[in-house]
Amino acid sequence: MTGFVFALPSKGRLQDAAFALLDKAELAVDRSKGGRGYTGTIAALPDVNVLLLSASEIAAGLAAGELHLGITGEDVAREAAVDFDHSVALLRALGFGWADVVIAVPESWIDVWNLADLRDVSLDFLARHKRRLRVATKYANLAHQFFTEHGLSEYRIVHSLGATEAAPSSGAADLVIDITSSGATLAANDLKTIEGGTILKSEAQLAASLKATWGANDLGQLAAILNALEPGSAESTIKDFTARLKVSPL
Amino acid sequence: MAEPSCGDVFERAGFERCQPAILQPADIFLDRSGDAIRRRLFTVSDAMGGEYCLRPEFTIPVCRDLISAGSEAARVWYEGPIFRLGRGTANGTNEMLQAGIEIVGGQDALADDVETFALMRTCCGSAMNAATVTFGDLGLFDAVLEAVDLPAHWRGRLRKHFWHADVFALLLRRIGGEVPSVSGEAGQLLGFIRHLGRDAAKAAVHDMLTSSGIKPIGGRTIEEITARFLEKAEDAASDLATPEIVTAIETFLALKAPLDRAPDVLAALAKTHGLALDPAIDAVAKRGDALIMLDAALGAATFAPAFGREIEYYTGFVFEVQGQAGKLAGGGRYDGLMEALGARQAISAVGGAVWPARVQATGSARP
Repeated sequence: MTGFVFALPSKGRLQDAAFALLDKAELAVDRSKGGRGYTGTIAALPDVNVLLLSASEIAAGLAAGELHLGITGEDVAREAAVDFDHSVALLRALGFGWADVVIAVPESWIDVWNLADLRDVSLDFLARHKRRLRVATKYANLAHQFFTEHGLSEYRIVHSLGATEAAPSSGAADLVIDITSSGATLAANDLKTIEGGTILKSEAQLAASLKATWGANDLGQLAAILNALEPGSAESTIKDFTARLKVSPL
Repeated sequence: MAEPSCGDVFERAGFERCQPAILQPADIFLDRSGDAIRRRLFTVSDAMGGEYCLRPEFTIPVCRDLISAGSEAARVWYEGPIFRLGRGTANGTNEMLQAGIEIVGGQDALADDVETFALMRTCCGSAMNAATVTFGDLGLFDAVLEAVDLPAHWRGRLRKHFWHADVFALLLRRIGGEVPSVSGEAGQLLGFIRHLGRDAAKAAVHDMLTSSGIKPIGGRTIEEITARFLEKAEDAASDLATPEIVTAIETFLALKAPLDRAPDVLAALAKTHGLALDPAIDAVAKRGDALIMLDAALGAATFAPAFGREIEYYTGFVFEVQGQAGKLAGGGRYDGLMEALGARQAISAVGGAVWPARVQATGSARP
């Protein structure tokens, strides 16, 4: 796709909040095919190509340099980019889409209160059962990074496609890493969080790709969007962003 | 005249060449130090989802081959590329040539340790003149652990996490008295069972789990949860606050001395902290003497008990030769690895590897 590409969430509360935000900034999105298509236009910015994609697709697109700008969750953005700091720039936290990426273990593990306990259990489990603890999650990269940082090495990731939190009950895994906002789903699945087990406190972000090709025109569109969201905010943000573009090899 | 090739050096010393596969199961490497090394590994998958990697080192592939062949003693050498994700530099550091040896199932640890180092030293040739050598002995830490008064499961934790400095430091803080407080139901249960005898406590926890409607999901049994809960109760109740042990361990790990003074410095530390370390210090002294006989200049090499701790499988003697071009050679003893990889019993092993390209670069850089 040629020209500036701006991706927005295609469904759910994330979409509602993103559209409301843009509405307020006088950048209302007109979605094609009677509001059900996957492209859109913004009257005030005719040169911006709007794409509607899932939050994960937006994250993957930013990481790969296929999109310039997107609104998506920090959780999926970090998960999609193997080298996050050189792939994606988080420009603005948007104040919605709150979700924590957390470690959740069965409530029956009354001896596990914090990370240190989980570490001990992972060693004990391996010795006892001759296999490693299985962790069900969609966030394999975040999980690996977090566990490495905290000295947990005796585990295996089980990729989850659907209801991650049901994995321990169904026997597919021993614990999970998933997003939670109210904790209600965790409790309903007989899971609990542990101290020190919050991997990421995520919210929706206006994120730009450090891997995409940015011409003067593209930066101009970005500036227009930033100023519409918050007047006068574009200059310093663009300055930092272009500096980061220079040090991120394509 | 060119330096003899590493292969020639090893053959002359009676080693046989082995050629392990470049493609290895990724699992083996991930299992050793966990997914922590995932970022440095080059992995490939086959159509059935099996995960392989390009060998990041030779020791594990060589040991695997020996185990497959049913070999419990061998003196082998190798030479070939190893693959590790370089740190973003453009000079092709993802693939490097490495040559080295493994002495597996040897009967004389001291002789084998010294021979391993001597062979690496020979391969480094004149590059040794400008090189920095460091020695360590991870067996010393084991000796210190045995010598201090800690519950067995604490020794196990410290030993297991020794290679991960951050986690180890956290464990030390708990030994120093920083026991995390427990709130909520678990805290209440702790308070309640503290006054019960062991059997009664076990029954209480068991009852709580079975009758409270908490579902035992996940692979852990009620018995193992109960056992660990009781262990935690004991930890919380016991006076684990032993800062003297923490000081002893920290001082020991911070120790650095020239090789020829190491035994004296270690003995002084042992005396100060009341630790019975004579046999371990003796072994260090004997090996130090043998190394100094090999080359008097090694008397000035640094000896550090914490050195080499981040390689998860080293158990004893450890060494490294650093030159201008980077690490020229390194190696150590790894007595637990063969059994961990599937050998029927524990088999002693020590090995060393050299980076020929760096040795040559150092050599040609000299005037």
